[in-house]
Amino acid sequence: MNVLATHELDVRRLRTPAAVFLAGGLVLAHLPEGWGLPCPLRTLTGVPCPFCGVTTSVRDALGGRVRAALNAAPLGVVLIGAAIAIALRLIPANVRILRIVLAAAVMAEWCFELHRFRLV
Amino acid sequence: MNFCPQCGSQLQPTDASCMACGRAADAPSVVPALRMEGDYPPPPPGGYPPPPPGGYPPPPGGYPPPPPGGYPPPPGGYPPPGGYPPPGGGSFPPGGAFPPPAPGGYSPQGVLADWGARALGALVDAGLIVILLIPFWVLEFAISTAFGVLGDLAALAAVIVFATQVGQYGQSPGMRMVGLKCISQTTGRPIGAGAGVLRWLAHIVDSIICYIGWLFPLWDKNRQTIGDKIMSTVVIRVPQQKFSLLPPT
Repeated sequence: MNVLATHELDVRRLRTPAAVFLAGGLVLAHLPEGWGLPCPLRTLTGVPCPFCGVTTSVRDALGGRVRAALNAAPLGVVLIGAAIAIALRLIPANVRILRIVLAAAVMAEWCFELHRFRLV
Repeated sequence: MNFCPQCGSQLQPTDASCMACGRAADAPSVVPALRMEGDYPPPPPGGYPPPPPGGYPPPPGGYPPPPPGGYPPPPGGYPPPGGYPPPGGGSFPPGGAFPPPAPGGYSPQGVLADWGARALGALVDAGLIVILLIPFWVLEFAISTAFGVLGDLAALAAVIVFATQVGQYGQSPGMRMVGLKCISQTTGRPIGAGAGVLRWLAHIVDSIICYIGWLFPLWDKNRQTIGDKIMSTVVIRVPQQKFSLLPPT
């Protein structure tokens, strides 16, 4: 396994999705709580997936409740920052990211969620 | 490995003399066994002399006769007329070369479909299933909850029919309408009806992690969902067709 393997990200393809993500998050922040799809893994097994809490986190962060967003899922706040940088063209068109960093980030977020749901 | 000391041709262990120049194989070698680029002495000024008209004369004593029954074929046999087919069972494009890469995604079989087109195709298919379910919902509300179960079964049957079409023809009704085709990454052809159903089952992985797998085509190099990666499929753009529930014959 090559630990230095990278994922080449074509940021241009993500500009529109990033803008849609931010707009959707802003709409969600002004809707009553309860909007969003339940996680199938958590619904079926009770175990959260690595991305559980991101919808709540994005809603809270874009609603101005940053501490609550970080408590729900730090990844949501990171995604908002990345989406702003992509939508405003603050980062280059092509970015190489180490796959091991991506995997570590997902694993860290999963551990956070498992701890949040008191499973570890 | 031995080489002819005179002409440098490779010698088999059973060769008594060189098949190219006829020199005895047991003569002392002056040619290194392994020659690398740059090992040869520079050519003489003016280059090597051209071969004489009619070619070089045969070696003294002539060439050795071929073995009885002729020379054996090479291991694996000779290539078929027209050369070997490409790996994976696909076919090379006419003209001998693939078209230049399209901006924003390319596979040897065509231009990869973007996420928006794929989502639109899926929405059309989902809409068809909702239309199918409406009468069952009405009957469930008006008559009996049994119609709800029947509706669920009808929806499952419709999904399996669509998955079978994707496997057999590469397209569901929504994909035909939007202009998409699902093909194998290795053969460039539809994956087969059974594999199409398996691909639909593989999409469960896309859903189970908060549906993130469905977003993978946004950033993936081959624009694949996790289910596509499991089944080694890609979705490419093809000409749009008129709406039809069944594939055109």
